[in-house]
Amino acid sequence: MMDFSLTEDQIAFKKAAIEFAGRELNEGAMQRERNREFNQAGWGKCAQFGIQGLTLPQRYGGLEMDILTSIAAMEGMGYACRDSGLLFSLSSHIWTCEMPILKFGTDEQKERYLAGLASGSLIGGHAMTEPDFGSDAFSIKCKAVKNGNTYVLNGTKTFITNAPLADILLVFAVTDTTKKFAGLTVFMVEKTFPGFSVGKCEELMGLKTCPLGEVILQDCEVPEENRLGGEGAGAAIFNSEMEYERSCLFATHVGAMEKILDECISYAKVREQFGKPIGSNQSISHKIADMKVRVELSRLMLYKAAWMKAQGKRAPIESAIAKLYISESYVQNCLEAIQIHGGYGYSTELDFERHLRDSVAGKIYSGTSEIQRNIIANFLGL
Amino acid sequence: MKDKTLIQQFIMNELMRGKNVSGLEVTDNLIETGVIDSLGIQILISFLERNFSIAIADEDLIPDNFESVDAIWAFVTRD
Repeated sequence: MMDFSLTEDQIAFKKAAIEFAGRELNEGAMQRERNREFNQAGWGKCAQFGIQGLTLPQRYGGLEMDILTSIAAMEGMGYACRDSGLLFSLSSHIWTCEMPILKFGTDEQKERYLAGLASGSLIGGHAMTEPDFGSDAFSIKCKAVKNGNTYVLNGTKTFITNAPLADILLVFAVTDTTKKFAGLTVFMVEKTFPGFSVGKCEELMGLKTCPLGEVILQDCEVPEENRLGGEGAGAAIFNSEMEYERSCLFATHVGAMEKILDECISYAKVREQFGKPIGSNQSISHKIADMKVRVELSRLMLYKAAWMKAQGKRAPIESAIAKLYISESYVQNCLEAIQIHGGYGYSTELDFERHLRDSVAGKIYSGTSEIQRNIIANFLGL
Repeated sequence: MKDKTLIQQFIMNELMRGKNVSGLEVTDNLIETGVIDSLGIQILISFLERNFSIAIADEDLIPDNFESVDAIWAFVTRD
């Protein structure tokens, strides 16, 4: 039976996350956004609260929370934290670095990296996208050639979340060109490895506080013990990772949408025009009703996909639907919030224009909206 | 009765549509010929889990298990 209602403990933990984020992460957020500055102190506070270790076993210093509890906490973070760049950085760290190592790593690899990732002393991410291959992810050209007990990696990765600060990145590279998508292999590349460097940092429309940049691998030497899974396991790791990311990363978006909705309701009740609250006009109240529908349906899809992952089931179509619907709803709700707030909504004094800039990225990363529709259509036999 | 022709038929009907590949022998390499691509493997896994009442672990999604109809049959019928 499908049941993803939250327990009292899960609700309490979500509330704790809301209180923590509101209290500890927002001071100076607007200025950091203008300066494109990562909240390093906030990263440390999140680690102390347990965010980086949400899903990791206690033996590595994690909280060992189940997936539903983890996304409830991240939804709370999304509700209260005004720094989407930090949230995106945290989410990438959790879902695209920690989870693959936890799922596919050897005991020795887990011992080596997970405690540092849980404590926040290590920053992680993954590196798949290349300058010429975004949506066509499995056509990447980065090569890994085995030489004794070492692999030599050559290639360039772009739009890599956390790259400028990352201590470890899961790099996808081709080890067998004849096997196409099945010839990909994943390597845990540390920033200190010879031949690893970070190139230009991208300046983006939103997510400005998230460190994001180019990774250059020039005869980068990676020890064999840093291969994650076997040769050719890259596609399986990528698909697993993407299911988690599409099912769970967007929890922060649902939280943000809820916050925006609350603010619109409050504003519509007190803002008067023509002698009455604007919320008494159906043109406004219907907008807000539609926003509420999008929040609720987004949450249902988020929790359904996460619940399936928690059951150990595959959720390729559910995670694609969740990602598609949540990311597009977030953009739509931001536009409606700006419209409801009029000139104030369009100003940078309120937070809606920042939300809008941040929300657009969600339609692009983790597979564009078009790719999600392709996945759904393919599963329908089209 | 479920046999390897069920797999063969599924691949021909669902994964080879629109691709410039004619015919399918049980020993044909599905990966090198592009019959199974990154999305196709997910669709194939769903089909196999549903029709053979098995749960396929991510760790088993390696090329050796999916490179031909014979290989897939051996994989889904292994002890």
